[in-house]
Amino acid sequence: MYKYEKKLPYPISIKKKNLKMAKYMLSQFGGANSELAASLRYFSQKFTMPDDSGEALLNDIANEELGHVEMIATMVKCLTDGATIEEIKENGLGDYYTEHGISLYPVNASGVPFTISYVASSGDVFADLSEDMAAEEKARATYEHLIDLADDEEVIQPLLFLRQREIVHFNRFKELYDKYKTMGL
Amino acid sequence: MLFEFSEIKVPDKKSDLFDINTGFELGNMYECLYSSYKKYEPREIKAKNEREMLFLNILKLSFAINDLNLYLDIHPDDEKTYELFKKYCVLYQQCLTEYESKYQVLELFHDIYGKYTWYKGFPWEDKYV
Repeated sequence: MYKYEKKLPYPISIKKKNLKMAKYMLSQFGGANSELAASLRYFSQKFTMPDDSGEALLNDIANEELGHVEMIATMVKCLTDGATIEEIKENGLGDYYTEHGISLYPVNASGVPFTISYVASSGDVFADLSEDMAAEEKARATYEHLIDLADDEEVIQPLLFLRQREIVHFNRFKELYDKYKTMGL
Repeated sequence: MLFEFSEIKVPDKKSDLFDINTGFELGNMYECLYSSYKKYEPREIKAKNEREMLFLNILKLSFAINDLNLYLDIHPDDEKTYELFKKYCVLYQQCLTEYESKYQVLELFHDIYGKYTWYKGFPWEDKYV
């Protein structure tokens, strides 16, 4: 079961409204390489990992990613706080506003809704772990693009933190993959 | 409880672990896995008051425990890492109890300080971090 803790993995203190940035950031909430996809991917795959280490690692990373979902959502909330209808229209969020107002809804930066088909769970440990490594690399690349697009230090710093987590996760998945190969699974 | 994390030594000098402040700021406790992006540099996170400092300590310890945890999942017999993990867990509990008794509970099961407060907002909404 789950127990909620009232804290974010890394502090968010964005005070400058930036609707364009909020729109880009949505990709990490509901896009193909999003934290949400990552969390559901590892959570689904953990049940068919071949040993305790694999199940624990996928479970722990899935939980961490869920914390990152909350971080991203909080950042979007801060970036849109107090937005006027004019600002929403000017910054390309009119289409989004039509159905969602300024609530959080998992879509990517182009407005494509989240779908679980972003995620694989193949029943094959090497296929799954290869997918996980690729997913971490894609998420890292997305964070780098977001950092390129950002101009507020309060946005850049949490993005740097999240990018670094992708690198750590990639390496842990690779370690597990190599371990299973060595074991001759 | 305000303490300096630099007092907590990594048990092995050859260890590739960052100290707890650096690890948190970089998002990575493991020097061998760290990789920077362009010229961007993670900044030092400063607390403005005692409440913030205590809250940041909780975040830092929680982060370190989580990162060591991922390593331990694959290397459960690494005793040095487990020793450090235990140290951080004890400190985490101490910081959490102090923060929750003084300011705000962060876990439902800890809401035992005289009045029901769980429904009240999240720490970051009060701009404490």
